[in-house]
Amino acid sequence: MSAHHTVISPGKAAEDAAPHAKSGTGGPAGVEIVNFPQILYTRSFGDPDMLFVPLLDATREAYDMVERLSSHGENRANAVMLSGMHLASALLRDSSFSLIARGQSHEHVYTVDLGAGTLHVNTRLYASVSRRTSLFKVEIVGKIAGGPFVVRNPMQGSIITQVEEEKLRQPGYFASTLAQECLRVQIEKERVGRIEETIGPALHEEVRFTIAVGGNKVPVALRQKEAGAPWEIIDGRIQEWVGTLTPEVEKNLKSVTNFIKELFAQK
Amino acid sequence: MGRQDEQEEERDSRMATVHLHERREARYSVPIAIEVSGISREGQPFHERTFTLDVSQWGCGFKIPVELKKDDIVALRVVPGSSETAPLTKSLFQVVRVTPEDDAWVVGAWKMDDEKVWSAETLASFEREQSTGAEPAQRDTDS
Repeated sequence: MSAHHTVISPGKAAEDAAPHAKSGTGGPAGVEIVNFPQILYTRSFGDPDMLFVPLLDATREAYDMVERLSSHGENRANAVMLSGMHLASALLRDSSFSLIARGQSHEHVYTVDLGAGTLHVNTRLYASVSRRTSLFKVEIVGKIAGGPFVVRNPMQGSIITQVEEEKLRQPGYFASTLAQECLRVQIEKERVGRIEETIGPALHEEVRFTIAVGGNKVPVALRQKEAGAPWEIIDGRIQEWVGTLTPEVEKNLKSVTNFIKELFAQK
Repeated sequence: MGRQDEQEEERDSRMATVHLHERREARYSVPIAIEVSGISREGQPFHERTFTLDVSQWGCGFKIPVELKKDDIVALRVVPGSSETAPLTKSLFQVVRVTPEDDAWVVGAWKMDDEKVWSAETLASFEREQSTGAEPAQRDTDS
């Protein structure tokens, strides 16, 4: 597609996504172009299953324009501004977009940074398993030029998954596959959390540390359920028992813990 | 920041986004030298120097040889020297109407941010001149 023929067609993507999409409408969204004075707003095509792909394509075209203008001698800041204007004009050519003031919150927010070459999407996903429906706020971040997109929990900053662009292009991917993946990760976290909660209060003593095994850092816990009981070795990655300390090794551990106990007693 | 400044800023912010059909303000036939930048229909950047046909606080009209369409976004700056208080930075404008005229296009555009492209003093002085009959007045409203 040539630079002057950019067309955003979220409606077409909506038709493709419809069989999988959980919501009947696309919902409102704001598209923020960094350093642009206003937000491009769509009332009905904001769902990532409708807007992500056409916006990524249009953004990529604008990003190519930045490189092209820069290589032809245009000041880079100017090239970014001109390409951003071009992208905004392309979006406004679709009648579902209009300009609105900054500072309002939207269910889906797309942030295009042509200077940094990144696309951020802040959105909500819904997943249902066994009569349980969960809402996830996620941040999807990737390079406009190409490569995988990272899906993060925006509150904790933790990475949920990493997705290749071709998967994101699959119809209904956000509402179905990605939402299910978020739920799977959450259930796994809750499972680990429950194990820690049940073991934690009943322990007499516990020592946690990380060791390097074959180039990987492995979290390990040594736990003694009651005074005089054997020390159990727990694999911290999966919270599973892997063995107990021999009496000889236990002596070494005791000398370390006694040293620390004395240190604390002196303080 | 004083209460009056705050009110003025709030009003500016509102005006930058108010729906186009609600915009009514005085505009004056003032030839200010400007540079209009954008991307042409062929995908090429342009930086065209021209003069305003009319200006208001929030909009302006100008004639340009590059074809633009409604809703195109262009960057506009006042050419240094044409207005003492004009900022050197560019402001973004949204094209609201385009009329072909001879071998060019007459464009009406609306400012997207609350930067002051031409100073209030400049507009006020033109208003004074027009009210005293110093120059033929053209007081019109955007519609």
